[in-house]
Amino acid sequence: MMIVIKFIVFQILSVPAILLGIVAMIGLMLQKRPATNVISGTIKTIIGVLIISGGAGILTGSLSPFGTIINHGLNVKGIVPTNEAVLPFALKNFGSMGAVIMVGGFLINVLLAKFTRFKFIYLTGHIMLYVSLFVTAVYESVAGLQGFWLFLVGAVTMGLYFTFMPALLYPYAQKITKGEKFSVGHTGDIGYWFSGWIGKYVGNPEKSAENFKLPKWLNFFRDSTTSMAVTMVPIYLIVVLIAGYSFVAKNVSGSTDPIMFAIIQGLTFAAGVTVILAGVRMMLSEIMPAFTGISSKLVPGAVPALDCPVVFPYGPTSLLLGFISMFIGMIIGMFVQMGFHSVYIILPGIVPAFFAGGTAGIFGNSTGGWKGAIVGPFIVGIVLAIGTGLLLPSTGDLATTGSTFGDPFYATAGLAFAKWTKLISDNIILGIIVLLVVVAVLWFLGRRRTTRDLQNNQEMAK
Amino acid sequence: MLKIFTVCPQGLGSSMIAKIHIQNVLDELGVDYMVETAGVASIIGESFDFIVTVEELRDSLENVDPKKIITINNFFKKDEIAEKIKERLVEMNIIGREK
Repeated sequence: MMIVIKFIVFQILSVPAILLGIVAMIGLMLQKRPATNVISGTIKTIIGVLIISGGAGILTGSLSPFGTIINHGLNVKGIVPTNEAVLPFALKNFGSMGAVIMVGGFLINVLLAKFTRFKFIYLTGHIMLYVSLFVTAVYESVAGLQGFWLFLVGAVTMGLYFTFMPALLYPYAQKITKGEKFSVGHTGDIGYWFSGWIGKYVGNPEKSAENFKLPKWLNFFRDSTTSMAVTMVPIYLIVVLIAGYSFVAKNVSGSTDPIMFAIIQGLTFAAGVTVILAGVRMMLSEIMPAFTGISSKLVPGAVPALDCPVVFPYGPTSLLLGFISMFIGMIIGMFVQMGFHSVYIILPGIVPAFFAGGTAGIFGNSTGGWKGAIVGPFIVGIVLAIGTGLLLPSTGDLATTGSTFGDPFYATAGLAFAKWTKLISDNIILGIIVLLVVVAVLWFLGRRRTTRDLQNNQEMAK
Repeated sequence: MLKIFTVCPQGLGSSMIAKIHIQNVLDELGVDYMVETAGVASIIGESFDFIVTVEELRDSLENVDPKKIITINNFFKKDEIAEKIKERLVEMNIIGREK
């Protein structure tokens, strides 16, 4: 009997692919899908996770020579802040616990939505997984939590995140969409809120960015494969030139010319992320419909928190302004880090710049017009680069992969969360006091978002 | 069997919401289907009866036969998706005209 339990716990449940397969299988069975559907859905979920690990191989092949070159050239560790790039490493190290914490967090989210006034359900699957993995990594490597306690604390943390982040953004989302009933669920959240907030002070919503047009070709950054290729190739080329042609030729690139090597490695990075995206897509394909089905049955009429592209149609010009400003902000942030001689240098990440920066631009535009679409994302870009650099040592084994979580949430609230976890594991009383203060402030802010703001919805939407 | 893709920039979030809506619509109609999500890059090389996407992404989908694109305004609006899917299914003679 013990052997069977041990086999289940240590073999089946500790393999993230199988565990997520089981989650999908339960989801499909709850939806009463036909047997063939259950089988194919389960298998596809498992294969999706395996594809993600496959992408890790491609990425490592591109990131590890890059690490050597940048370390020689600038004597720093260059880090690519892209969620999809760090995902396979996070899955490998914290995958099983991250997956159960995601499911636990979702269930707590449903309970909170059902029994409190915060009727928000977080439905952006890939983000749910990334944040759960991040929280698992911090609790495990900073606080040393393990097993059941790790699960419990992690699931509660995620449940709160899934419920309150969309609540924070809802008033702005309402303003942007003129009263549509959804919120945004994406790790750009802190950046969106900040851009929306600061927009009021820097500009005028009447002078909307949407009054003018930007060149259409900028739109091709929507395609993350292309945009990663066109940014990673120049970054690789610059790094190779700084490290020195002869150093690269002698130590890294072998028989390939260093310039050619840089081009191929830059493209390989994009290839790795594209493979990982395909895996994520396949993995979520059956899990998310199950989550949606469960939540709509248990909490009918809840406000869904959706992925950031849902607001893209409301501000195509603001999107591009926000994207460019945040990218410039990240470049400045990188130089600031170099100025301070930081060990880890966060390179500009095109994916967070487009999705988080662009969306922050739309939020900023809703309160501050075109100035708002620029100022918020620009500051968020600087903060993202610096904050992510400070966060890196708290992510355990992930710090050595050359990639990390890249979105405003991680660089701000995530950093604060990691520091708090450190504090509470060193001094539990102080940690609890700080937590209570934060909860009280959030509760106060949150109250405004359920009662007054919801009543004023129509007025605000105008 | 009807094969449909929902397409958004990365094929992760918004297209997933559209996919769930389409599944619900087609389940109600009792049509045999397969619906998957795709990003603007990953749709290349796939075969399908039609794709569902938003107006903003049309420029990024030049490789796709325009007749096979159903354009919606919002990924999350079930009514709009239901209406446009039904319209297309009537054209394809998969379901009869309503009433």
